Amino acid sequence: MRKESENPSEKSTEGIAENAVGRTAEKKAGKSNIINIIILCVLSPIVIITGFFLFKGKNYYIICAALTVISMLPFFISFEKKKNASRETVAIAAVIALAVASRAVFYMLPEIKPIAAVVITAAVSFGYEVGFLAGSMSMLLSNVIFGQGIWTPFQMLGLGAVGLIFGLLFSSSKYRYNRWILGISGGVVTFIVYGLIVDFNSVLMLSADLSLASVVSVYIYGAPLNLVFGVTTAVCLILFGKPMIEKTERLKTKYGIFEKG
Amino acid sequence: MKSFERCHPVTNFVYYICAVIFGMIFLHPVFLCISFFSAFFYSLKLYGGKVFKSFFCFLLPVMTASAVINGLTAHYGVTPLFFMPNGNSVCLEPVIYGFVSGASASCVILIFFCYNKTVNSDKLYYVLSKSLPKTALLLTMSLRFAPMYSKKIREISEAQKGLGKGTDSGGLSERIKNGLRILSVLTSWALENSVETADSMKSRGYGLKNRSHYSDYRFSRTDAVMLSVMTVCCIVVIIGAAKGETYVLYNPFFEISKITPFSVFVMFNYVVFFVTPLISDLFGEYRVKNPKKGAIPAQRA
Repeated sequence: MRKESENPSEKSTEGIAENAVGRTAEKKAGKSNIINIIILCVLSPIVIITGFFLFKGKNYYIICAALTVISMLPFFISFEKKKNASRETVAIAAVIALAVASRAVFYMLPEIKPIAAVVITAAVSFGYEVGFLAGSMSMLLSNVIFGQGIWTPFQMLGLGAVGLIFGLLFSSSKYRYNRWILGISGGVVTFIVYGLIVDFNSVLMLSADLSLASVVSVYIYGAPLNLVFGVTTAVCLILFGKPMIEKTERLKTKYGIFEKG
Repeated sequence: MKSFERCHPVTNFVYYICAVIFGMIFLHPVFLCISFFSAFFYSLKLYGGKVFKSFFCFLLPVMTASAVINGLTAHYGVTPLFFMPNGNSVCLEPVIYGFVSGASASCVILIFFCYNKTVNSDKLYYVLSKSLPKTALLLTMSLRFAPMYSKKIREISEAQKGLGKGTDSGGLSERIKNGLRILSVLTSWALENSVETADSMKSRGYGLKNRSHYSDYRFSRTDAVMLSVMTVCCIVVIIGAAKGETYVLYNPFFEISKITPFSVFVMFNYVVFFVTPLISDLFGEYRVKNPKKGAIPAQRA
């Protein structure tokens, strides 16, 4: 109760402080954008070209793993440069931990992994940057528990990309409360995007010379598992997406976090 | 001498990053055998007999599948084994190349087995906090939240079970609905709790200037020795690779660089690099059993 009464004043002081840092933060954001463009436009061609000359068209695996890491760097750098309120940082951490812990809810039904559904709802209500961070970090974190591997960057990029897509498509769209649209698109995007990116790791592991036939055969072999993951995500979003987004929206207005503009 | 697990994070990460890159790049049979078997023996040291199980259930199938897929889909090679019904020939070279690249992938998996046993999340946090401090903070906070939420989930599901809405009763749809209710309750609690945590962080000075990080790691003499040995070996191996000592060709025919005194020297350095952690662990155990005269028994390092 006391907390509630304190809130309005706290929110306003925080708002003033944020405005004060806003101008410098804008400059910093511009700088980080330039750094990101340099990373993407300079670093990735360098990796591809040196990889090509060093390995003479072999060893796609290490080049792809390096490219996966490079493609994620801009998001982390812009998160580092951005002046977030401490509440926002902790809320992102809470979303990541929720995504990881959500697997523990369904210990009776081990096939069901609502991790993508949690990431999608976070992306829809908190925006695409949070979506990407939540997706990639929750994969990194769950691999701290289940074991890291060379697949970690691919999984991080896969779920991060799902979060990014939903943040961009739905975060200011009126369809975000429509459970059917959100659920079905969630299932399809998880199946296609996450499946393609993560199974690319298996492709690199199992087929030494990348030929169309070997790539397709590995993808077909992995499709049923991805389908289960996609259907799970769709079911979770249909049943649970709307109340979860309403909860996070309420939190946003109550504490004044992740406000745009 | 101390075990590799107790070494400074920088030592650990230099070894693992170089080992993974080397394990992926060098497909020369001798170099691949060295990296594979040293990773295998080190994980045997760390995990015991469990490694044999994962070798036969997971790594061997990966190598075989890679050999089969590559053999059936690639059509280069000069040594035909047999002809498929549609007239394409299956050659020896793509099969060997598939097996070799599968072995390289298995080697990397074994190196990550060792990583998971020797590098804990604190060390990952330590390394990340130097370059990406906010991301490291996110990681460490979520690492603390995840078990806390799991505990809360148990509490909530006990309460829901008391109301007759647990995840172990009713049909499948009922169970999923009950599970989602637990997740919903957890979400509300977690997000409210995160705001409280943030406020208490702020009141203790989070984000102020001139605040240092706590770290429990000391860069000892052993770390310096190990790091310099590994660096020297790495440089020799890279020079050797640049001079073509690791050259091998599988496509379209098998060709390999000649064994010279220099290539033997490079291979020796490669061995030394890969077995450094194993030797450090074994030597550390030996020192514990046979302490130096005059050394304090409980002394670390």
